[in-house]
Amino acid sequence: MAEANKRIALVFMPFSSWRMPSLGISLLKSSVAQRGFACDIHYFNLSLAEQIGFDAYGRITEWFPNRWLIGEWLFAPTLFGENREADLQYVGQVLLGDPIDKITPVEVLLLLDLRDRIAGFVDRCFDAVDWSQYAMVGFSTSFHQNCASLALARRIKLHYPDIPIVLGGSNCADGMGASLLRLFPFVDFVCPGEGDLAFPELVEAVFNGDPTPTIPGMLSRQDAVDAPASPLRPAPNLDALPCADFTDYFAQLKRINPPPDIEVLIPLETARGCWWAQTHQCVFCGLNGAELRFRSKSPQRVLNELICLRENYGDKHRVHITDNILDYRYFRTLLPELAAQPLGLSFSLELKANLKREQIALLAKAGITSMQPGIESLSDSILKLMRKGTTRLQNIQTLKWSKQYGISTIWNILYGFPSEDPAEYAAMERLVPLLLHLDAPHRCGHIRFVRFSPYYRDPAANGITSLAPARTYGHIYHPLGEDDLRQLADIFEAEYADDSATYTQGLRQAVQEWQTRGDAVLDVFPSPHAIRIVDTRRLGEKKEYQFAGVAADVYLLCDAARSVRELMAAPAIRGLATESEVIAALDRFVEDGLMIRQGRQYLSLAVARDGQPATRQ
Amino acid sequence: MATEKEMYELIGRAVMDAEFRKKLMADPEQAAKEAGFTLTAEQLAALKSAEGKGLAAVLEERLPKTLGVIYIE
Repeated sequence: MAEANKRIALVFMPFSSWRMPSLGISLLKSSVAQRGFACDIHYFNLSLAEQIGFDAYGRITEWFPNRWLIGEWLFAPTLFGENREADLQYVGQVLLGDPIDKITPVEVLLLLDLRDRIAGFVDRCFDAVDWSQYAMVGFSTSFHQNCASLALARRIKLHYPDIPIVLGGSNCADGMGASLLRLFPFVDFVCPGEGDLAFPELVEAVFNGDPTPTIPGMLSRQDAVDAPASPLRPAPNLDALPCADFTDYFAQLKRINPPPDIEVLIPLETARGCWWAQTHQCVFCGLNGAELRFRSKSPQRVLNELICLRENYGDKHRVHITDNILDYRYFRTLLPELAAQPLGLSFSLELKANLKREQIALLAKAGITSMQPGIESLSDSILKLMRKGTTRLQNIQTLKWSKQYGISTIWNILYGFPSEDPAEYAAMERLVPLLLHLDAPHRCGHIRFVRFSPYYRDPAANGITSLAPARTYGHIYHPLGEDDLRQLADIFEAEYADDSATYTQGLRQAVQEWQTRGDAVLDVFPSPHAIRIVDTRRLGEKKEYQFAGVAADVYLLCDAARSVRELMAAPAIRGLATESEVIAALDRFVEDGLMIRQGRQYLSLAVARDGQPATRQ
Repeated sequence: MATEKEMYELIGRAVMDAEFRKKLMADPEQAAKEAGFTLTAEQLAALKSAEGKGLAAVLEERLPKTLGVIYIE
């Protein structure tokens, strides 16, 4: 039986962003506290950021393509020992051999140097803590945290064989968790799904003297032998969960003295799962693992939690809503409340891109300053191929209105979808010069084939002849065989006719230029009888346009995409202009690059700068 | 004069040989010369540019800034 005075340790290793506490283990800390168990969270990612520099750490977590698993490679020697042949292959095939994102030889040298410098880091983590005070040590591992977590877990187990080691996080989802148990014998338990219910029960069982309990939703070493189907145990009611406790993070952050100008994010979960994926999962998306079922918190619970966050951690940090998709009922409930009674907090969130202007205005009023709408493409046929449920015009509208209401957007252009039409990328390249006044894509990158995505579940139906773990895994987890890698991997390489590195070259170049054009504007200033448009999209040129009468009305009406038929029915046009006059105005706008046309729909591109919706009805 | 292929060979040597890697970081010209690589002025300048800067500064010079958010790929 664990001694009653002992505590629980939860550990957060590199590489995960140092700018945000872990929501998962902060929730578990609160959950075990409700059962009377004290818990410490050790953020060793903060320690490493302090050691190697916050900028360098940030680059590792935020810039390098995920498929490179750079954070795992940096800690692979600590876990598995040196393997120079594997390193040579990694450097040659990944860092220098990637067909698109390869880095320079000098940058490779710097990465090698960095790896040398962090060689003793896990030892220092071990030495920094008196592990004997703990009855159990848990690790949260997502994305690039496996190697460092496993290396420290093994070290703790070696010195304290009676302390149970528990792993959780997205790297343990479903079969990946079972394989971690099987491959790393110093791991005692793995939580393959949500741990809100299972982890506190496990803690209680261990404290009650059962070292090998059977807990629904938790895998034990016995399961590593029997290899059962992973029992998932999602929390049915998110309102019943406690508020996450971030005190350890902020205490440790204060000790490492980070740069004062860096914004720290506080994670807030208002929902789990994806309501869109329940019926139309995007073909490339593997988020939410095997548990897609959408559940959200009540608006009142979210408000209470926000008030609590503000009281505990102040209002200078941005609240990052971690949901993969916003509950659209919040447009009627939570968001109007936040807009009516501002809490003085700013927010970032992810949501679907088919937004109305009024909804974006409401988001801004509610305090949202940054959002990640799932845009992914500016081609209707490719959006359809990925089952995105949005159109090119909707995506551009969302970017435009976000600009109008001061919300920065984080978005991507993805390519490499099996059976996509290369001509669509040439069309997108031609579109870019018209959109330079809007937020540029964060990245124009190849899609990843990830576990749990429709591409992974049914590759043949999607034109993929075979799927194998990304070769990066073999270079990093070099002692493991192909079958082990298949069970452990989250990212896969697909075999299909793919020449996208060639036919997207022009678009990628255009996006790079777009990323440098934060100065470009295309603004429309409406007045009662006319509009003025200012256009600086062409480098070094400033154009001004003035339109009055029907043309001005047509332009303002097309702030949301409209057809000629819809325009003719609008009160501002009906009976005042002929269809040919309207079409002539539309053609002129398209010719001047002030508007785009998609099928029968026309969309004005300029951002309204009167602070009000541009449309006059 | 080192070709691109030779430059890659030099990096390969740095991967395989920790001592050489250290020497290369400390004195690229001398380390490359000792190992039989004759670098171009441009290649040498690139290697020297890393001295005392570290990864963040070198990447900063050629990559667009991150947009200041946690981004889930």
